[in-house]
Amino acid sequence: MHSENRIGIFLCNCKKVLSKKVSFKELLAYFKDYKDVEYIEENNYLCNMNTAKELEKRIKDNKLNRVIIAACSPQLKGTFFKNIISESGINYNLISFVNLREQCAMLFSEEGSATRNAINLIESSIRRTIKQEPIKIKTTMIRQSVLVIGGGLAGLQTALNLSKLYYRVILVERNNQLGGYLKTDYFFEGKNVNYKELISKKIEEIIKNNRIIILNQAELIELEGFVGDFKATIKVSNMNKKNEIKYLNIGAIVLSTGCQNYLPADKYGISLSSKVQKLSQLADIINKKKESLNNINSICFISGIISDDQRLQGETLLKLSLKLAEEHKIQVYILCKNVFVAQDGLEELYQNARSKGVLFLKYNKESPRIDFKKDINKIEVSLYDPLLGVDLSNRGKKITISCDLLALEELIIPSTGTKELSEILQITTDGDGFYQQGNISLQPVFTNRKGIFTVGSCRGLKSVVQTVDDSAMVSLEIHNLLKEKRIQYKLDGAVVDDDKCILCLTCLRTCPHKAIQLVKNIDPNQTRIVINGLACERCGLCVSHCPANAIVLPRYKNSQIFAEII
Amino acid sequence: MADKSVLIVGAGIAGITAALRLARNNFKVYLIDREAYIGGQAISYNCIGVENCNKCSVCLLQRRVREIEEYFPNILIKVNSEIEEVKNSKDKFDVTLKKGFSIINPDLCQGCGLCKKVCPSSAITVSHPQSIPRTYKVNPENCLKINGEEDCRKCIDVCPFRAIDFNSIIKEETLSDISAIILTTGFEPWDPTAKAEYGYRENKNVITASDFKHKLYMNGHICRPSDQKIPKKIAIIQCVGSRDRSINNQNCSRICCGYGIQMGRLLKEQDPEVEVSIFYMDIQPFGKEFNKTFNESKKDFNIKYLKSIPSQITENEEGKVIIKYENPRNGNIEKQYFDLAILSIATNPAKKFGKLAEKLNVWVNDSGFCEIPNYMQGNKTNKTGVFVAGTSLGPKDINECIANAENAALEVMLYLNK
Repeated sequence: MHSENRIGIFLCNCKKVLSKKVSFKELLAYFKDYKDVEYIEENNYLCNMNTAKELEKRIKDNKLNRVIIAACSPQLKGTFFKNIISESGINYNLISFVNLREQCAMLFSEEGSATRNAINLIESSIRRTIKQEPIKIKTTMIRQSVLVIGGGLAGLQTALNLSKLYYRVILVERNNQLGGYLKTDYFFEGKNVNYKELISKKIEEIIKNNRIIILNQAELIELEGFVGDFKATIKVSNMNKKNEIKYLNIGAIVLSTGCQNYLPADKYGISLSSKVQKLSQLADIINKKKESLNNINSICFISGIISDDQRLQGETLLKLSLKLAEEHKIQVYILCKNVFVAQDGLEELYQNARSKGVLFLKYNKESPRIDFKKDINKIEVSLYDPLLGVDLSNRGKKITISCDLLALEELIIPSTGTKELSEILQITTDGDGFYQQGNISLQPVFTNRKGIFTVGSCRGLKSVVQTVDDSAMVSLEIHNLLKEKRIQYKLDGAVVDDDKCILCLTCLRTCPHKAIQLVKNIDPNQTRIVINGLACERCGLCVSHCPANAIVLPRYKNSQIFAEII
Repeated sequence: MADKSVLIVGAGIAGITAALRLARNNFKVYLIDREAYIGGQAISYNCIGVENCNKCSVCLLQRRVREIEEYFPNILIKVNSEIEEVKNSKDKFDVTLKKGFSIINPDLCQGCGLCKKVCPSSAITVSHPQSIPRTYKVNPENCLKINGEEDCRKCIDVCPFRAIDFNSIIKEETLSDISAIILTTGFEPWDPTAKAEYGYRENKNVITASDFKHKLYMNGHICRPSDQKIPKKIAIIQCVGSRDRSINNQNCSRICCGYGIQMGRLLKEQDPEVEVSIFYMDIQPFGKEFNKTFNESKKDFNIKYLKSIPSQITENEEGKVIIKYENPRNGNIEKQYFDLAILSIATNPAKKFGKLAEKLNVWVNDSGFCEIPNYMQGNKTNKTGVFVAGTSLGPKDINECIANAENAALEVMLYLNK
């Protein structure tokens, strides 16, 4: 049964500011006997709590079923009015806004045009609001468990945080031990921090925790379902090489797969040997095979050739060189463009290293030249340092260093398997291969799929403190998503008309949020496309791409849009 | 069911983030700030809508400031307030606030602006263009009543909320039963007058980065303070007040390289013919995509980078800034003329943080920032129930502050849910 339209229009002159340009008298007269308009009034200060409460009374008295608020920008007060009016029983989709401030009063210099524009906007809003339909709200269950992939610091910290917020956590680690990057010898003890001790404590805490299940030597191989109800398939390799497949139902997924070192040897133009080593290899040697350093008198580090970003290396470099100079009495040269000190305590380390005899040489544009002198079994590195003086060609003073060992700086790239995992999970990666953030600064821990989050260095290199902060952020975002076991969502996501759908699967390929699913059935007539309302972000891409016009967004149907713009 | 209450001292980006997160999880939050508005340092910056996003992250703050109004009963904002006294019994705090406001009471003022209209000497202005709560203030220099004319009471009579009172200036208020305190007092830009050779204030055309932001905010473009002309040749000087033995601050201030490059890019984007030179010591990479931004600024924007820190800045009669420096290409001492010099100043802890820390018995390190006992619980102070976040711990950019404040909020939640 088609019920009668009873539209109420509430105008606001924003403390008489808008009435300078827009003639409210004219508006009142024009819409008084307008078709379907039941009630119209002008207000001075509509967003005042007291006036807003009277709205409810007006709506009930006049039995209004649709409301138009013609005031300032809906971005400013939209949610406020929607909340207040929804209390009086009007569906939020039947409330529409006309922006009299930015789109009328501020836009025109003379009064006539502003008023005319206001009339036009309100008229089109009336035409549209008649076509709008109420949107229902659906409630679904959401699973209270989280899958964390990667057992590095970020993964461990996130798992601990989530367990303290009373969620069940399944921690999946590819290797047979937890700890990740911090377990390797690449990290050195800082001023008052012992990374290894710290990570061992975390692992102990995790093992004791009965809300966390740890799966070592396990990998995610398949994922189905949507936010709140993912179905993950996990392959666990056992000691006797028998693979075990586990099926898990989870509410959300956190990726903490981290990063790794990589040496692009071609960029240096030399190959690795016992005389030329990666920075990480050298770290290993210092920690494990100290005796091999006995024959070495001088070491040269080269940094800054492949990348200007040496945040991780900066710290390691300083600590390493300090250790070599102090404990092994080795002359250390550090060739770099910039010394990285932008972190807690690094400036102190830098000063300390200099006082212990570590030499810092800064080259400018030209990269250092490396020569192997086989006759004296040494490596010669030459560079131009402009700070030490000038030669004829204005390049700075030429300095030649001969050393026994060369250590090269490495790049930081995403860890192996990041690409494969991103294909399984259908999430996007950025230009460097790291996982793409939802929005570079607005939604750092989100991905393009709802319910899948990233944490730590798998999104770009992060320091230990930053990683801890990041895992707090991701835990709280997950808590926000899962804290109510039954969540409500509006059914205004895209909907497929099964009669029109020709199963071309264009939408399946188009959807950036992977919210569309092909539900197969033995009977081909029963096979159909389903869009998950919770995962759908209402972007409307599938609507515009569908060749059969089978998909609609309930709030933005063609008929509604055309009614507004006629 | 907001039963436990948390006091957040300082309503900057960190304070606001923590407040929102705690309110979302059913805690009652008192958000206090000594200024008349919330938003802290970052509210005075603004996004300059240029073609390429410079990732200044200022939009993050404005979004959150708007959001905070929606949590009205759970977040109570108290501006113009400072902590006077803290009493600690068991795990509860009783905090006495000193509220000093000048004439217009921000608790009562609804921001209608009627007083501004009637003021005969236009002494009443908005405290800040984007301030929330939108309150007005009286400028004592222009006010007729303060300057002799006792009979003028136009603003007092017109105010419908009776918020204007020339007698009451200082008031005390006690918040009791506070379960946890988060300190987010933030930073203060370093005062460059201490570095006399740069002649800040003596030379009119030497400005700081915060002056720069303020000027852009007010005018939409940058102009020379001496003659209001648009400068064509600009120098940006890094590391002013940081990594400097002569002023006893050896620590790197971290964020200056990022914002120095950002300033250069902004200037170039507004007018590609402007010549921008950046004097630096070491470029400190900061955040994701720093490399890209840095290389772009060299190649696409043609910003000149000079690895040299100027030894002296003077100004001639025409207003040209003369910078004396060692040319990194040939080692000669040279002088260059610029229209404008911008100092990338370091960040210092808030001045009153020391006193506040004393009242709460919280550790402070040598640089004046907060000292934490446990490295892995980066937001817990030595005092139980007192937490710290944001730039009170050391220099941070907006994104880091947000992540750090989230961590503080989580630690407070876990502490109170025990």
